[in-house]
Formats: sequence, structure tokens, C-alpha cells
Amino acid sequence: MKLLTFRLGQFAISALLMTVLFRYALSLSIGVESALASALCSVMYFCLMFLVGWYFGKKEDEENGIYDIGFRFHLVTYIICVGVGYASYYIDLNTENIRAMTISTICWGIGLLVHLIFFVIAKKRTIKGYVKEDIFE
Amino acid sequence: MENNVIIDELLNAWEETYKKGQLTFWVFLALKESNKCVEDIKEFVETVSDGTMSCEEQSLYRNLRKFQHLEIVAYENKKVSKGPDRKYYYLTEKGKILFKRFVERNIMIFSNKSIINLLTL
Repeated sequence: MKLLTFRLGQFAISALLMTVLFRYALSLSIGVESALASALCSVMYFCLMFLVGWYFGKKEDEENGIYDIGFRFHLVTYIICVGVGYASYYIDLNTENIRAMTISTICWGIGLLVHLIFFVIAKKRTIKGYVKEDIFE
Repeated sequence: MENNVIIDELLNAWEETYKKGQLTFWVFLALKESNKCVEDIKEFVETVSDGTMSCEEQSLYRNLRKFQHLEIVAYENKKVSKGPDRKYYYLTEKGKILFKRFVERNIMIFSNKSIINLLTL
């Protein structure tokens, strides 16, 4: 399976930019102790990430038809969110405490692991990432 | 009269099902003849199939990209007098073997004399 695709790359760059901006905005919100601003940032970030993921995922499917039940996009999102989260903690931005961060990383990691299992099962139906029945449609 | 209508409807339904999956065959046939760009493939398919097969360029691009990832089709860029370079697709060795085996198993059977006799009855 072709793991790295143009659309996945575009998604990764967009997600990275949005996550960096989100972390920065969150840090400012925590700095002024505004729960409303923090909540607004988080909701906006969630919505934008969802829309961007949906857009590039749809494009990816239209152009390449790779069947991975969204695992590659999920993995990229996890790496970026966790990576940027820890980076913002270590460069002294205002973030949640390290314990909360670690717990959410582990919980999400378990979710990702479950997704990986389903991905491996789904992969058996494919040849190089394409569903066998759909290759010669 | 009513019989003819039903037969026409059944024929259309049968053909619709029959044609599914046939595009690959015609595309491979086009590429077996010579390297071709998407426009040429489309023209070949429509002409050689006597108009019974038609295909959208978008659908061809999507399929060719898929075949390319599966390493059964590849392309080379060729300069054209106007505009950007064009992609000329061709069958790779793997693609040629795949097509040959498909034809042997599914197409050549129709050249069997007893089947030809039945078809021309």
C-alpha cells in the first residue's frame, strides 16, 4: 500500500498548522484564565480538524481509492496532536498538566491501537490498499 | 410488441451488468496496441468497441492511477507542441502477463470451435 500520498501530506501540513495555532491560542486563553476562550478555541479546533480531515479524506478516496478505513489519517492526527502538545509543554506554553496530557495520550493510543487492529483485518480484503472487488470496476 | 419491449429492457439490464468490469479489458487492449494518452485510450475504446463501450476521462484517470500504484501500468511524459507534457501510458511486464493470462482464461474460450458454432446457430 502506498502509505504517503499527496492528499495525506496536505492534510498533515494543514493539521500541523492548525494544531500549532490552537496550542498557541489555548496558551493565551489559559494565561488570561478565560474558560470561555479555551472552550471556544477547542471547539473551533475540533470543527476545523474534522472539516479538513473530511475534505482531504474525500479527495484521497476520489483520486486514489485507497481503502485503509481512515487509519493513516488517524495516525497522522495522533502524531501531530501528541507531538505538538508535548512540544508546547516543554517550550513553556500554558497547557494542561503533564499528567492529564499523558493520560489522554495513552487513552487515545489505545483507541488508535483498536483502529490498527480493524485496519489489519480490513487490509486482508485488499491488494496494495485497493479492495479486491473494486480494482477492476 | 410487448415481448419486444421486455426483451429490450432485459437486454439493457444484461448489458449493464455485462459491461461492468469490461473497461479494464478495453483499456489494456488499447495499451497493448501502443502507448497512449488518456484521450487516445478513450477514442480507442469507443471506436474499437463499436460504440458499445464509453468512458469518462475522469474515470480513466482514476483507474490508470490505481493501476499505476499496482504496477501494472506506467507512463512516460511526452512533449506536445502546445501545453504541458502529456502522460503516455503503457503496460508494464506485470501488466502484460496479467492481461495475457486473463485473455487466455476468459476471452480465448470464445474462439473454441464448438462455442463459435453455438453462437452462430
